[in-house]
Amino acid sequence: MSHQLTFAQLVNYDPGQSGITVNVVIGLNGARAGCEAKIDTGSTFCLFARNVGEDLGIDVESGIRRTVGTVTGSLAVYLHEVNLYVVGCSFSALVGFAEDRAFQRNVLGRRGFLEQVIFGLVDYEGKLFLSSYDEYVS
Amino acid sequence: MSVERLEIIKQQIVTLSRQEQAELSRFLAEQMSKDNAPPAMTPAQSNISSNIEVTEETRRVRNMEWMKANGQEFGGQYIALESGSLVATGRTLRETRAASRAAGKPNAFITYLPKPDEALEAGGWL
Repeated sequence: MSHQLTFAQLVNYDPGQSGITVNVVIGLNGARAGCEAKIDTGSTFCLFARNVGEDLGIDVESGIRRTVGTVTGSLAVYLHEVNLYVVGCSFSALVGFAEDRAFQRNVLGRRGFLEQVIFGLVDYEGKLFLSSYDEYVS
Repeated sequence: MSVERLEIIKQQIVTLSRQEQAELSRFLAEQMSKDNAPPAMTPAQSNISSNIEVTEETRRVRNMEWMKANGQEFGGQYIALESGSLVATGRTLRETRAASRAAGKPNAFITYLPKPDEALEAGGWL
């Protein structure tokens, strides 16, 4: 039995790079900040470096404080509602900004990103296929 | 542009989804940045842009306040919020979106709200 999905977007990424990395733009009240983020199915939320939020004008510590468990310990993040723009798809999401300025990684996790898209991957060729779920079902 | 026509446009904007409003806001910002000259921006353009931002910001702030105040009670599930008011809850995004639509609020902001003491999982990159 075969299955077929149709995607609106195709991204060619560098399979030689560590991680599947895509460009992300975060928007808030007309301000926008761009960064690269790794797609991470194991991360509960989308998480970004503190300076990404500050570039948007967010008072990071005014957000909802939660703790993320990592391999080496834990990380405090502040959740904020923002608009995410990823490879032609856009959606509102609650995302975390790290409390620690030294944390400089950005990840697109399950809540807020993966749950809102249709996602296809051919890592062998460095191809990522994407549609927003709303676009997919409409 | 007449005041009446501007009001009609504003009313139409309010009926757009949040994604459509964000797209419109981005379009207007791009148009204004192309001009790159604030004096060239008409008062009408300025009003449309600032009204969208004020409305969006007010809605966002109210949602954030609600989530902060209700994390203990509603944490651990999906919530649908419309400008700081709870519209629906659910176990999944799909379930919550369906409940939100059934409540007549198809454009509500929907998110998973973690409990205050819930340790979020990190993937392989953290």
